Amino acid sequence: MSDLSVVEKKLVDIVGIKFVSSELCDRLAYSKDYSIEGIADDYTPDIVVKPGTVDEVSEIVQIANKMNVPIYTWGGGTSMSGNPLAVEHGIVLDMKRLNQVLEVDPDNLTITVQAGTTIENIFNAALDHGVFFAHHPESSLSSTIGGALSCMGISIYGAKYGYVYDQVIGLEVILSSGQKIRVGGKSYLSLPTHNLLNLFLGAEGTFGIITEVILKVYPNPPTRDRISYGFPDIMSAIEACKSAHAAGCWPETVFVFDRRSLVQYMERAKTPIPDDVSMAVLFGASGSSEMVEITLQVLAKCSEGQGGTRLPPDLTQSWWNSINIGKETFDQSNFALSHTEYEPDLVDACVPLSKFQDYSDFCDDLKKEFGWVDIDFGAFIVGGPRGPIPFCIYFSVPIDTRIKAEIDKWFQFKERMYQRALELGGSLSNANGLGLRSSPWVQDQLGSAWSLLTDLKSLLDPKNILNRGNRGFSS
Amino acid sequence: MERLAKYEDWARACMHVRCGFCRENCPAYSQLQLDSYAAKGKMTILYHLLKGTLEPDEVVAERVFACTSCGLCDVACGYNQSEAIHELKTVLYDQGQVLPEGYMKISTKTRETGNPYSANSDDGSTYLQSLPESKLSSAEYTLFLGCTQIYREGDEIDFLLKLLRTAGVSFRIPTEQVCCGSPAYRVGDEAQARTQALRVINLFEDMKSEKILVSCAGCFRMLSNDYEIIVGDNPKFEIVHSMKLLHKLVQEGRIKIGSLDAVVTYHDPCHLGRHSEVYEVPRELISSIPQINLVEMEWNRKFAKCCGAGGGFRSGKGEEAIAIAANRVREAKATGASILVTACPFCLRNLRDGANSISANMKIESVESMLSKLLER
Repeated sequence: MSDLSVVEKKLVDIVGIKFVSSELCDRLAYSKDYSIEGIADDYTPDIVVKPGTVDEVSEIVQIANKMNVPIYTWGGGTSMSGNPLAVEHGIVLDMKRLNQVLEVDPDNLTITVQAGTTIENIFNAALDHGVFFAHHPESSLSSTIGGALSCMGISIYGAKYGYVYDQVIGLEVILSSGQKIRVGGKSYLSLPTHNLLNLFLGAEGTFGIITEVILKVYPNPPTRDRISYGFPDIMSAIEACKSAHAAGCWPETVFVFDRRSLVQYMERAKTPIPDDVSMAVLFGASGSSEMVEITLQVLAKCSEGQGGTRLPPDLTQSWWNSINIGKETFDQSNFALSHTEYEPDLVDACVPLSKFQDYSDFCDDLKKEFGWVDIDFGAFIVGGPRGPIPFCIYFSVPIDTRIKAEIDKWFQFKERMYQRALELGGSLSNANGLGLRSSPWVQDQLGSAWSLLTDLKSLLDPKNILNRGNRGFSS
Repeated sequence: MERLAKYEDWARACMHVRCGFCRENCPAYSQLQLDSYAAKGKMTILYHLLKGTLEPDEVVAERVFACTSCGLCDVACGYNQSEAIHELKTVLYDQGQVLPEGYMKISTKTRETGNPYSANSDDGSTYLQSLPESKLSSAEYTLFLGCTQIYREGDEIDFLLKLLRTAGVSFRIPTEQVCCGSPAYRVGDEAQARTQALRVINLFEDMKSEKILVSCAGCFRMLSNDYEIIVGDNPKFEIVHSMKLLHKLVQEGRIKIGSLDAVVTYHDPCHLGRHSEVYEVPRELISSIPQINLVEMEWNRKFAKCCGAGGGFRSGKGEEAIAIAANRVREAKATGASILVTACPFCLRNLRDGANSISANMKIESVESMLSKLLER
């Protein structure tokens, strides 16, 4: 019996035959995430296992550790960085059976859930108890909280409430030894010493496997409304956002799209976009009706002060519907429709605001150099509450993924973009994970701190079984 | 595989995006749990079959056929994934891949006996001939009764006949029992489905029927939507679902329904709802009952969850089909309703089995049954 057959038999003993498979047709479903990486290479796992309890997770990890088989943790598979991909094949650990909302505590503003719970289910469980869970990415319907915490991710409400890691106050984690630990707790300040939560948040499963989470919830804002504005260029859109920030506005949604992105997001609703819109900003406000009204008034003034033009209400609504995908709106999703010709990928880099135009110009020049003159990339920016507003650039890559040379060309383009971001004093952002996508440049950015990170990896995962070969760590 | 090439774009888009919106509400995935059972997994299979990186085999067929054809994935995706999955079933069937027995026997039985239950179709015809409307030489409607009604849910026919007769509807009934072909079609046996379709069309032509009345949601979808695809010609018949006719009869006062002081919820059959877009007529019909309180389940209309029986799933994966139905009954219970009504005999059977499996204290019946029992004249 081969080693893998032995591993498979042991996994069957732990979780039962229904939840283990080495069939190719099952493994292929876990060979690609929402990034281009899985098209560029073969990341098909050898075995898929789907545990139903935390103890089963622990036992599986112990087996992997003992038999030195790499283990790649999966949630909804919507990650945009290639972080769950089985670089060295081995075991894919599908966490979606650990999907229980364990407690909603409106009095103490917490919700406790298992890691495989979809964000939509957490959102709705909170609402059922009259409180609001603020992390709501476009993938909420299918992405899991464990996945979101492992590779960060943005929320449509992020401009007010922040990133997903801002919502966490406690974690349960299985370490590579199979040991279960808990960090933090239901008290908002359950961190008596170093913030150990940060070892595991955004770590893409390299330091441990998140199995349970205590999250913040908020009193539910009674009113929501939104407006959108068109701008002639990126900088005027950014200036409008800065002006709003200076005015003391606290919108909960700030999405900045270029025309290409907006066209993609309107594909299902087919709402027309005015011809003169080059960039557009969607602002959302929440709170009392008075607060929402005044916020939108100030946002309108700030936008118009920067040459912005109010977009039609049906466009605002279609835009909101296309990003606010939930149980009642999932027929509005344009995910698949907008991606027949476009592979999603992003340059997840954050550059200083003053360099944003430089970076955008560089991107335009580079497109010309690569011969993509007539192709308009989709770029979009999402506002958060920190600094003035941190930005990321996203692209929908207009390449034919059936042609390997096209994929190679895109990777060359991306490398130049990342290098330029670092030259401008920017950073890899980890706002949508690092994974395979951005990790080639992480050592450059970290410099001498990289050895500290690898030392921590060796300490926490001495056999390097957790997400082996991903995120820049060695194979 | 050439037949599937037209779906390459869809499969590639799915591989690009991997949003998984189809997965979380997929009835097959809810029970079978591996991603390959959801539409996303089936599109992955399709992508790799087309690319040549996966060979069709018994295991692939098992994954692909485990689909209730409910189409909720289509709502999430924007592409009609269920259509691509259906085509994939057909190709695997035509290739002679070994299918799980439960699905294959639908095809075999239809080929051998003319119906998916292996019932003696002479018995079916004899039954039809026993109905007085089979003796008529002309009528406004031809009532087409499905296999599930004739061989499994005979009471349902009685309820419908009582309503039609009371209203004085001019209808006649064929003297020959012919399966519409839907069960065979859903398990990929397109050839037999076409045979059945041609038999049905010939039957209607022989009877010089123009308006066909159907109360089985599966037959309705087949006759009104799928015959055009299978036969390649738009049949020259008007297909009317019983919900629509009964609604008209109530509105015209041709049947008078007594009151019912009860909270009721309605399950949209996938074939009637999502696939035929008949959502409001059954609700209006139910709401026309005096004192009734119609409440909605959490998942309704185009978002309605499947009962679990469709696409051959009840035959292929019986336990899982009933577990899906049990979940739908739980959802119905959560509304506070005491009665769950539907408009499809196949949904009815599965929902009842689902309710029994969890000992749910809930009455499950068809709209026709409920109306018939409340009939005042």
